[in-house]
Amino acid sequence: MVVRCNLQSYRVDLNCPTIDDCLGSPGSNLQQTTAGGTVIERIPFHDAMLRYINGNDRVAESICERLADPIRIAVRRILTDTDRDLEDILQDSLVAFLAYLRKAGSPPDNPEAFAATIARNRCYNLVLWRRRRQAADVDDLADRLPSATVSPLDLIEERERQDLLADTLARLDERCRRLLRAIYTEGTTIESLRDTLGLKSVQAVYYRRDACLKQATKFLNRTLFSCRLIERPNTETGDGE
Amino acid sequence: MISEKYEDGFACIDPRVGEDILALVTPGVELEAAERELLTAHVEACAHCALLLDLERRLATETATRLPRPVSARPTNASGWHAATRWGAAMALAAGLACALILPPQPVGPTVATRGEPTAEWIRPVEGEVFTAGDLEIGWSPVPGADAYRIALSDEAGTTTWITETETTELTIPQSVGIERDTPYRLVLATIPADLLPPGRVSVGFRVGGLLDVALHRLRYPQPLGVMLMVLGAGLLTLATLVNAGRRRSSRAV
Repeated sequence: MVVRCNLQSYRVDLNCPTIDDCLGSPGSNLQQTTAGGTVIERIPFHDAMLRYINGNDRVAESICERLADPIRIAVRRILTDTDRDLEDILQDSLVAFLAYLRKAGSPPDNPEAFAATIARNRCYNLVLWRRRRQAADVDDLADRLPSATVSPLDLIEERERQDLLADTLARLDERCRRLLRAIYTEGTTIESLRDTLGLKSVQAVYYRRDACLKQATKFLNRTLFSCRLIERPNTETGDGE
Repeated sequence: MISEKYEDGFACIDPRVGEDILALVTPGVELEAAERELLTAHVEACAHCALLLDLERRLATETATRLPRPVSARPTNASGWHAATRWGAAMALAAGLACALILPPQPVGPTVATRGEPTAEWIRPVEGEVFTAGDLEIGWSPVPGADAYRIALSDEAGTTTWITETETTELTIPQSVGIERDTPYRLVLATIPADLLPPGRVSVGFRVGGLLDVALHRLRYPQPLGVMLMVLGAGLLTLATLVNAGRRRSSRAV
């Protein structure tokens, strides 16, 4: 039997001698199984995503099967194999991917890389939170009534967030800093800025603003991970719970 | 504990779409429904773009960020002394360079003839000077008792190619004389009457070259004033740099 494999990411087709040869290879067809494990359908991955976009929930399982491995690989490079949050990250990433498909209405060009990046970002976020919020043993506090006012931790966190933002702005070059300050804190109108900057259209002002915001995000992103070597959480206890 | 490199932090899940994510918050940008849906879906899945939009939202809402903290800001305002030093250095360097390039260069050899009682000196050109092509203005110091001067132009082989007489101590050699580029020439000054100067001794060599040749020659043989200013500028600049580096080190230590 000859099965045509859809190697979408390489934009070529392969003739596979058997079904098994196709399974597991990049871009290979997907199988959907019943609870008993019987193969009931074999569809290309791209088609599966299109079907899901069009409302067919049954193909979600096969999409998740296909993406689980790339996501696991990405997550394991950041968290340890036995991290308690590994499966949560995996599930969250898959759900986010499926939600994206439905909302966006079209599949991404490279779904594996797309899903792996979602997962990596979630891992980074998790690590950041673990750094910020250490685990607290609530057993010792069981007999105490918690305060109903705002948590001091929240206040500190808000202050730190503002400082982080201020730091980010401070790192921008003078032109960007002046532009963002004019737009966001001084309330200067875009038309007025257009005249001041000698630009022909307001879109040009927005273009400059976008460039400055992207530059600021780059700084912010780096600042968040400024400790370039972040320790991996402890295998058993590092999940912050 | 194992360490992991985090590269640049969050990455965009689809940069092709993420590139336009700020269109969601740009007034006046008309997005089609499908495009808006795509961008919205993207930002919900993409931490990187969520960070970008969060930054934009916070800038718009948080007044506490009006003034960036100066502590971590890149030092943009130097102290008055530091700024003055830097300005002084820059000005001195510029003045030195201007002197070197504008003033006539130093002669590369002797230009004074001292045999006999009277002394004559070429003012322009000086020995070895490089001129740009065009009319060449030449000048020399007056010789007491001379009624007129005879100027002879000779080429590398010593053949006189042009000769003229004048009663003044300045002269313009017209382009029509046909002085060739990068060919050494020599101007010989004689007086009328002839016995006031030793024959053939008051002469000066020069050549015609491009602008770069002129600049290089003048930088190589600058007037002492230019050298002095350039040395002063470089010294001030070095001092300012050292002081600035010391300040940065001490501020980092704090």
